[in-house]
Amino acid sequence: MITLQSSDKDVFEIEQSILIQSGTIKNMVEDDFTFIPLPSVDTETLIKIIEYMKKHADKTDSKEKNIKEFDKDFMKKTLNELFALVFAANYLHISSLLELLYPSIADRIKDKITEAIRQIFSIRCDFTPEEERRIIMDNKWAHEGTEIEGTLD
Amino acid sequence: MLNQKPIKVLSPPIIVQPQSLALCAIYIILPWSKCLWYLISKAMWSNLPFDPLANIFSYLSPDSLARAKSACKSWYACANTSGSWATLPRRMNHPPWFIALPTRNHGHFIYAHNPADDSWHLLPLDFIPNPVRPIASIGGLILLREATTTSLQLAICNPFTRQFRQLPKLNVTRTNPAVGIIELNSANFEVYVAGGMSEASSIGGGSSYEPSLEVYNSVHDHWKTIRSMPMEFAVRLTVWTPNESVYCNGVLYWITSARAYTVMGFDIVNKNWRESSVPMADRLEFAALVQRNGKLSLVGGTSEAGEACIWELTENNNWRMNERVPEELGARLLGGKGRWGSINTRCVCIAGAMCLYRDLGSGMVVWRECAKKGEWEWHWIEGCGTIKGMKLQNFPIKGLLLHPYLASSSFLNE
Repeated sequence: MITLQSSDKDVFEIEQSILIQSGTIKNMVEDDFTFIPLPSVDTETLIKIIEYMKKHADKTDSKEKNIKEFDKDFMKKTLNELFALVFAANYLHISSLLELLYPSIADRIKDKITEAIRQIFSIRCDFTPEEERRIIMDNKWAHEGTEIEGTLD
Repeated sequence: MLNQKPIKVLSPPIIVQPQSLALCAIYIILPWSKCLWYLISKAMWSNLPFDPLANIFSYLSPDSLARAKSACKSWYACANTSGSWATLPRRMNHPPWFIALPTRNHGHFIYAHNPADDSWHLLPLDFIPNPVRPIASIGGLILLREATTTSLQLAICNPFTRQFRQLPKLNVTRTNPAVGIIELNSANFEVYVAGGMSEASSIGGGSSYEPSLEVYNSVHDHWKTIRSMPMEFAVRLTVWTPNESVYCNGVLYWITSARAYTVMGFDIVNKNWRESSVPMADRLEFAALVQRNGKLSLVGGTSEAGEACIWELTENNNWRMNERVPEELGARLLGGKGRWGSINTRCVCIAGAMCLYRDLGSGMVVWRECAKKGEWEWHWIEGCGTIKGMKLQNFPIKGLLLHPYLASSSFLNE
């Protein structure tokens, strides 16, 4: 059994066989660590990650459909939760979870205009007005909305 | 506690911005780990480390990526780093875009079709100083020739990043040679130029066919003359200047531009030339080469048969017909004219896709590899009749297929 400690100092005892899905934890276990503090993963996120790893630890054919259903539901989370998950999964090197998170997050970005992306992702625009104008001009074709811009010739 | 091994504390990857440092200062009396947690709990998407962000971006189609990268500096930097996109595009199963360039002087623009939402985009070419004619796509770049000279002067551009660069002059000045391309990997390529007519010599002789082959390597950035080539190939490649080359199994293939069609191939490794016959060579109204599943294929149509066919070159150098262009799609392209000879059918292909077209407004037939490896599907692209609400006149085009590349290439920055 391995003990994980979240940034909130909550501890979780989990079987080693489940935790080796995390490349980071696997390396530490190979170095004989049994107590692993995770200062950048909070309790809420760690619980979700453990839930994911438990579900994916037992991969038999009959369970594959269940796992797919679980994965689909697992991705139905708020953006804040997805951020914490992708940050933690990246830190913990859980590639199967990352491969699930990437397209889910990309789905929240696609087909939206830049300003909508900024609002949804709480991103502050740190370009100067001049820089922003130049970037939009360089990629004008992608920023075309409904406005008609003059003649073609 | 005393018997425990020292605890290894890992430092997670994070980009710290000035305002975050200010917040850290406030919390300076607390352990650094609590401070880190505060930053993360604020879900600062602009602080997401490079690797996961680049991976998320690889799932975005080019137009979505262009809008996402405009969000903030770190996202812009990530999207613009060559390495991140170059390795990932096809893995994400984004179909290639059909790019149309006017063949005559109908404006210095590119018309690009986005297969994800079936929309047309207009990209200006004002970053290119001289009139140019497109030759072929190389990865996400376009190989061009300058239209101001009759002798071949090549250049490369990326219409999505608005970069342009001339290639060095050829070793031998020539007009109308055949041009072939080999993509070595996602970042490097070779351009082969064969045949053509050399300039009239100053002594008083007329210009003559140039029986030599030169190759340009993007890593070394210069032209190397390989060796001489048989005169008959030089003549044929010059007189019937082919449109595109197809590279397959170590051989660079060209097909003559009119009937009676023949296929010529240059073996890159053994440096020798070979020739293949073409089925119904003197009856085909149009013919073009395609690379499909690692084999050379030929698409062509006759004026008698309704359907255009696709043949594959087998191991014993025979052509075996294995597919037909769906009749309904062929009919749509022909626009009710019924016969393949009645329109100027053009064809373009890249690894994994082929397109039949005639002009900008008539629509295009696309055959491309789908998500299930090895399976190819037929699609129809509606032609471009209006752009941004304004009606367009129809005109002939040169079509290309490419995967838009939105990062700046260091190659184009030289």
